[in-house]
Amino acid sequence: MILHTLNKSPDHPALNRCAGFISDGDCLILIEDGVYCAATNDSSTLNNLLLREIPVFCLQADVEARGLLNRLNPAVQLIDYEGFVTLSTEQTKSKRWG
Amino acid sequence: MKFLIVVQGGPYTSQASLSAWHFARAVLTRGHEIYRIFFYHDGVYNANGLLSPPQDEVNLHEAWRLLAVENDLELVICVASALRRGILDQTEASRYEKPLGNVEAPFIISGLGQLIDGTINADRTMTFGS
Repeated sequence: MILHTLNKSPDHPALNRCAGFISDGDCLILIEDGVYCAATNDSSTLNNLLLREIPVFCLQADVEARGLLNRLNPAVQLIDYEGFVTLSTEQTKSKRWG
Repeated sequence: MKFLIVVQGGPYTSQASLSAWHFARAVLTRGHEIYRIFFYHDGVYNANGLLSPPQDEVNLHEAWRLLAVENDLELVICVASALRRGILDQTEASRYEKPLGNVEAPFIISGLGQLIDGTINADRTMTFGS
């Protein structure tokens, strides 16, 4: 089970590459500019991941820094850095997309 | 649980090193261990002791240094990445006949073997890049 980290906005191919690779049991955390992928009405790719019941998380500090707190897809879960650490302990591996 | 943290982004160029620093702090806050922090590619710029940002801005070199000193961490920078970017300790500066080095402890210049060793001996590897 892999924790995927993604730090690029949706206009970068990283999200599509990640979505093609991610498997059931994995989860995805959006950090830095990656949080733009979770902005509402912005990404069918992200919606497809959520439909596949892939848990998707956003780093709250990066969401707040970009003024996106009220514009996020409600199915995405906000976490802090300690939550990020916990996710990385729960998954057996990590993979960075960017 | 033991963590290897790999930093591939330079300070003030991307958010990678700041994200990695916050993650490293959270690892310690959660009671886990940091096996090593490895700086690779542009990440080696974090080791430049001559960085002099304005005083009211975050000083990433100083932030890493303090985190390492207070928690007895290994900050290892890749020698091949470092030399070609002008990141040299005093020994390398003398070897290459440069007027000064800009890397001091707790940053240590070493090789990719330390990255491989980290991936083998740490329970988790987390990479932050630009």
